[in-house]
Amino acid sequence: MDAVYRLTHAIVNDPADAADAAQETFVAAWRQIRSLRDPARFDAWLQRIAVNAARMTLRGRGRRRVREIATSAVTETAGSTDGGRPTDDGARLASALDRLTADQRALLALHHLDGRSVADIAAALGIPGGTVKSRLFTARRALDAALAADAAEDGR
Amino acid sequence: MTGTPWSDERLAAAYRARFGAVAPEGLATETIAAVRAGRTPRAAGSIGPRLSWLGVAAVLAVVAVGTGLALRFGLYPGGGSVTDGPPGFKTFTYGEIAFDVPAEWSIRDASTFFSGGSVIAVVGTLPVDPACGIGHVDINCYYEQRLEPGTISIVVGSGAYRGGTIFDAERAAPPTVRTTVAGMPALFTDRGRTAESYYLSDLDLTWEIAQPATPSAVYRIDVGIRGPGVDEYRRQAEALVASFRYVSPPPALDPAAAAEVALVALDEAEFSDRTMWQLATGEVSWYACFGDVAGAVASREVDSTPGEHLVAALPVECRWSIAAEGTAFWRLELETSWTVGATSGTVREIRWLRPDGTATASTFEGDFPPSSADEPSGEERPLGTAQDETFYFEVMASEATYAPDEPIEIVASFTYLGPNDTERVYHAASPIGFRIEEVGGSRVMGGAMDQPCLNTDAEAGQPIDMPFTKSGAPTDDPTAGFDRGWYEDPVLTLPPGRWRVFASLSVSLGGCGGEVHGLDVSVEVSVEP
Repeated sequence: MDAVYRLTHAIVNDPADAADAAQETFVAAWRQIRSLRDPARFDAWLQRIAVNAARMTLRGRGRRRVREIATSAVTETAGSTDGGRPTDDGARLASALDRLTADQRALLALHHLDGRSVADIAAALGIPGGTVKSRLFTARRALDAALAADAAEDGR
Repeated sequence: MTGTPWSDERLAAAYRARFGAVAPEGLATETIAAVRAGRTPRAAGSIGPRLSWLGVAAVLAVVAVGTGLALRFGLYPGGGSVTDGPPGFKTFTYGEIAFDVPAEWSIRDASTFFSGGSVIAVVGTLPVDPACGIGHVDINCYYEQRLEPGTISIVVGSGAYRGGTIFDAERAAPPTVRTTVAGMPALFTDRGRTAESYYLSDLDLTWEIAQPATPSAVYRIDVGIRGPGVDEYRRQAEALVASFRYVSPPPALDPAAAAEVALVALDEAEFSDRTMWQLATGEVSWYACFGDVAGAVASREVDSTPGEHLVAALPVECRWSIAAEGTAFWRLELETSWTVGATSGTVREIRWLRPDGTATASTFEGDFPPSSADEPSGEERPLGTAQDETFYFEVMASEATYAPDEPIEIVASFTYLGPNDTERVYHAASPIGFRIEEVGGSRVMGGAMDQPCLNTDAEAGQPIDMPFTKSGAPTDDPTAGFDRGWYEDPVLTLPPGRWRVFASLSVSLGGCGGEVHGLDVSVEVSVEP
């Protein structure tokens, strides 16, 4: 549960949405368990469901016009800012991730948070290893650009 | 912060710092309950997929063991606790809430989570049918039980007002009245005796108590009483509500701090808006217009509305006011007026704030100025639409032209048009199926299922999005279709050529095999090297 929650948290970047996505992951896993042909691949299979659940959560969030503002988003930001800007790496990362796509966040989380190898990620996402490499490279460049953009805004 | 890229070690450390936390307390228990709730309809013998108990055990084991959680089979296994209370009472504590219950009453775990709310526990003197569960009560089973003579049934849960708050005027229409419980705004409804009540109740009472986190969510206490002994049971139910409390009561509002709270909230609104909608350096947020003085009209050129970029910088006039809303929330009203050519409008937003000024919910009314989303881009997005008397259906591609390795984003969306507020829509694995055909070629992808029978609750006027998903069978013949690797890649990419993407809505109302509705739409996209 912790691993799934961490992954969904790193993708949706919101604790409450992450909890929803984690819960949805296990409900969906239960519903789809018959599609798991190889029990040895349970971890990868569950991660793929978690990534999809997080994607759907992000998509749903984008449509909200009237929205609830998560307490944690406010307090976490308020508690770690300097003049309204994040001051620690964790908060900087969270801010930069908001500029990335869901797929980029998923790849980066699997690699840098879970420590998954390219082969593991390929198994989890069901895409070739070469594709993982290129997308991981692109995602990392996008993250660096987002961090730099935030830094530039900090320096205004 | 430096402008140089982070090392892998620094990035990994940042990830651990930000996202390394364990799952919130109670999530595992809630998830198990959700899985259980999801199992109920199929266990009752409907058409859903039959799952081996081994599979159920595997998923539940991951949930439980992953957190080191051991299910507690006691008086209340659902994540709360029951302890001694005042003389003659016991105290039930669940998360942030607690209340006292007569010692002779039962408190049963019925934790179930559903879209927009939850059930926490069933309380009272009504004996629970053992078929509804021993350690955990299946709430759907419990809801089928009628009250026996001389019993009280109380269902405690939570709920959310989608797109509104407890302060909405229409919520207090008779027989519902406003009240205060545990210092929080609340609603009380006395339905008296409901004619021909399924539950045979002589009295039905409901309290909805705002949660400290947001006025958009409440705790619910639903009481049903069947005589004899109605008056005494009512007194006991009212005593239970009077004892309802938050474990950490929210702080009281400080009227002297209103203006300061408003300015904090406006700063936070601007910051959140910039972050959430990724405004570029130099772009002016909608919330940057508001000045420092309540009631004073300020002017500014802004580049965005809350959520969308404007076609061009737009001069607006704005003002704000703040007032206490009950005893626990501030009500910050923001009014922004704009004029584009001969068209003008005013947007009014209400932001509900906690005592410290942090925002918790917002609602909008009025007309927004035209946004960039309304403006056709240089290359118009491919769109296909169809409609019958009950549904509107569309499919859209993010672009008309893609590169060979570029992800192709296709989303289909259906909207229930009424006449009911909500309608249960029955469908196979998904209400929408997709198919791809090569224009002028022979390659295809597609395949639809007519099983199992699932359902989705559709709110009238609310689009339900379904992103493109692959279906069909892999083939080794490159002229006929796509290989296994392509099917296993969740991202849609296509080889150079012109492709038509079809989306089919296939649903029925009133049950599977009921009133059938089918709509087909398509878009064409090009993939160019």
